[in-house]
Amino acid sequence: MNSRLLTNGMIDVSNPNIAQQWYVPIEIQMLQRWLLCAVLMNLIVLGGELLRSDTTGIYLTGLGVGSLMITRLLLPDGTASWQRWAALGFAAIGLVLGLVSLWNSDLSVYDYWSRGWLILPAALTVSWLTSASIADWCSGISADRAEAGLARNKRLEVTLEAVGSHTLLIHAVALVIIPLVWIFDVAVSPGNVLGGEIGDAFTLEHFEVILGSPTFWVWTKNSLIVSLGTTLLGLSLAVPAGYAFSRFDFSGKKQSMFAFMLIQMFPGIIILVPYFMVMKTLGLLNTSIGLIIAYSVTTLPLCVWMLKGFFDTVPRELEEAAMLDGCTQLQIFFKIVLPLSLPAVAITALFSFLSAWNEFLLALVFNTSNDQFTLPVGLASMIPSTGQRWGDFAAASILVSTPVVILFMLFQKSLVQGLSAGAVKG
Amino acid sequence: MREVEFKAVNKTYPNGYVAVERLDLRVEEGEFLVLLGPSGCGKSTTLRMLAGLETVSNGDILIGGTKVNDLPPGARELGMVFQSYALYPHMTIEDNLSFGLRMAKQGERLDSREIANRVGEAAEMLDLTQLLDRKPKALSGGQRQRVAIGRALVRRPKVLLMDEPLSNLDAKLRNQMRIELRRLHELHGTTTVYVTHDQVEAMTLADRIAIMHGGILQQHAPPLEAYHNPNNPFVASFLGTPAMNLIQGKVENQKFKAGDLCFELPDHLKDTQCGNYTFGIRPENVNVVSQGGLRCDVRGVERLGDQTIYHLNAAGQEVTALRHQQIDEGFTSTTVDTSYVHISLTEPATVLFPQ
Repeated sequence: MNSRLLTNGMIDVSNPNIAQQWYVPIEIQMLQRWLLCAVLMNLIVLGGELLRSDTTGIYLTGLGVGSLMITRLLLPDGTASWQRWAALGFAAIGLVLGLVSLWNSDLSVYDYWSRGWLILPAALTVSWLTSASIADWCSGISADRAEAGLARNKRLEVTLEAVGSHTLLIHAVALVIIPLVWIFDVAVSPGNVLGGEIGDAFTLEHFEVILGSPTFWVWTKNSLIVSLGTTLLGLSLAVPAGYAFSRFDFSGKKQSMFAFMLIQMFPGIIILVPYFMVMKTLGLLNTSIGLIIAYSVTTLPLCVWMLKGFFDTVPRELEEAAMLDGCTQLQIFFKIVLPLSLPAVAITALFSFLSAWNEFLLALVFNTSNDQFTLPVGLASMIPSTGQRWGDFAAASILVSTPVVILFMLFQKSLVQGLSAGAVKG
Repeated sequence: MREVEFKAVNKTYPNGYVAVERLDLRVEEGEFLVLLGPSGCGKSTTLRMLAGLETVSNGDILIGGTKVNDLPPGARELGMVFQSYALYPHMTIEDNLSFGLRMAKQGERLDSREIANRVGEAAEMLDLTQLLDRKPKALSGGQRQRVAIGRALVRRPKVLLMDEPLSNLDAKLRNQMRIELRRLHELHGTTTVYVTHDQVEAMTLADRIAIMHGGILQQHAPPLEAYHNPNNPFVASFLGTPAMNLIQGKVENQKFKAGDLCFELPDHLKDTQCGNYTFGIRPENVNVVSQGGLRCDVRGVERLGDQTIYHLNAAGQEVTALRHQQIDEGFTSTTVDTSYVHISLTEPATVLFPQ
């Protein structure tokens, strides 16, 4: 058979050197990505140095970024052996700059981390570029060795990719965890101050103060009443509304769905003043009912949309089967549709509960007397302009978020089901 | 009194689309009627109007002589098997089966022991006894199908409706269920209306078939009558695989002419008046002969093992011939060894449709 027929114009498959053409050592492929990443991180570090106005730091980090960039550009592509020496040279410069910069610093955790982002990539580049497999490849490689290299790439790729992605993920996680660790540290440190070393002392005095204070329990009671009330009122309105929007055709359906979306686009502050006036006229300021009504109204649009989306995935044929089985419309809803929609109802309930539990602005404006504070407003009242009680505040913050975390854990299974609803049909 | 009657029934959707037009149809008590047609022909709409899931735009639907146009679905005493089975996913099989009985109106509701009896009976009949406490998710396609049938039968409906019930099953299971359905029908004698687009189901299950096309009833007849005596070219081409040969042409002097093709009409068609006609003959009635008859070019041959399909060209007209494989016919050969064959027609099996 004529092998020309099998070519696509780019690669002649009859070429016995195909492995050589395709083979690039996995180290080079990884360096191409990782050095780019390291350059970006060092630019962030450089930003930090600029903020600190540390002239030596700026100078050293700037040069380090430059050498990493040049190393990345000069990475060998297997065509000329001088590229390897050039890249090696600039990586070595980067390594030296990093070490000097570290020696020059205060050796704090931050310094180790920021210099590490220069030293480690540079050192890795140096060690890989001097390894036998890369040297081999740069000076031309035989077909057999190239095939062996492709197999080796396959083996190493999984491990190296895992190392790379986990390094980035740890940074992402740290970004979230560090503030939590900090607030926890403040909560268990003696005295009412911010800052200090992490984990230098331990006390539960702030928790004792908070748990022993009657006002905290009053605020908790208020928050629970408001959040549960909002959930109940919101759901009892949103569930039938979502069902109606999903199943029935009526005039104005599209317009009202759109209006629901539109309301979501306004920031809450816009409706604050009219709400306040309505509540004042109705005499609902400084009551839980006022907040319940206000929260139910503001969370309703999103709840209706979420539930409608789920009801849309309940097959109509189920309802038709129930009709033939002699169910009335109400029986269909309560015996068929609602039991099937429990995951969605659960996630909607959680959403209402949380938005009421965490809301601050309306609660601050409507309920001004201390015995009607909800937890967020109460927390804020603990740090007035004079005499901030940071330790107590941190302890209370942790206590306030605990129910939320517990709720999430309890509802986890339904949450996943509810969130992925529509993706799969039972 | 469990017969069903459609009297001049029309269905027009609000957007002006006419799904069913002037349908007159009678299903006798105990009859198994199959509504057959391509998708969009109005067969499902017809069934859904009978079930009460669609409103009737015009005309009357009668069940057992009573007009049911405005009765809610639950009051019509029907059982329905849906294409997707529509089992209640959150209930066990037992609850699925008994749901309809438990939902009956206060005065008509059976006591719980009678309900359990009925469910047990249905489960026994459909071989579901072992599965009663499972949920539908844990069942195979064929088992779900049987639950759906059980749920429809357990209320002892006046009429059993089925909407493409076998289309979600694989080929082997479908064959089994087809036989099973016919057996159940003979056991209970429930008046049944069955919708399908599969002519094999229609031919094997039906006492009579009603073939629909474009919302209009084309023919209502026992399956074999529709097969051998189709009313019109649509029915002729829809029933049977490969489809009936249809050649458009005209009749002159007791001869049929279509382009260069010209042959004497068979005896039973000799009296046909001159004019434009469609001539029809089924592939199995086109005989491939070694000599005489009409000479045709061979366009292709499909050997299916038990039968061979010849795609021929007779003086510019496409003709398909179907022969059952003869052992002496060179059955090992897969290539076309002749470029032409001769054909003759089994004359009594030919039909003419006026255009």
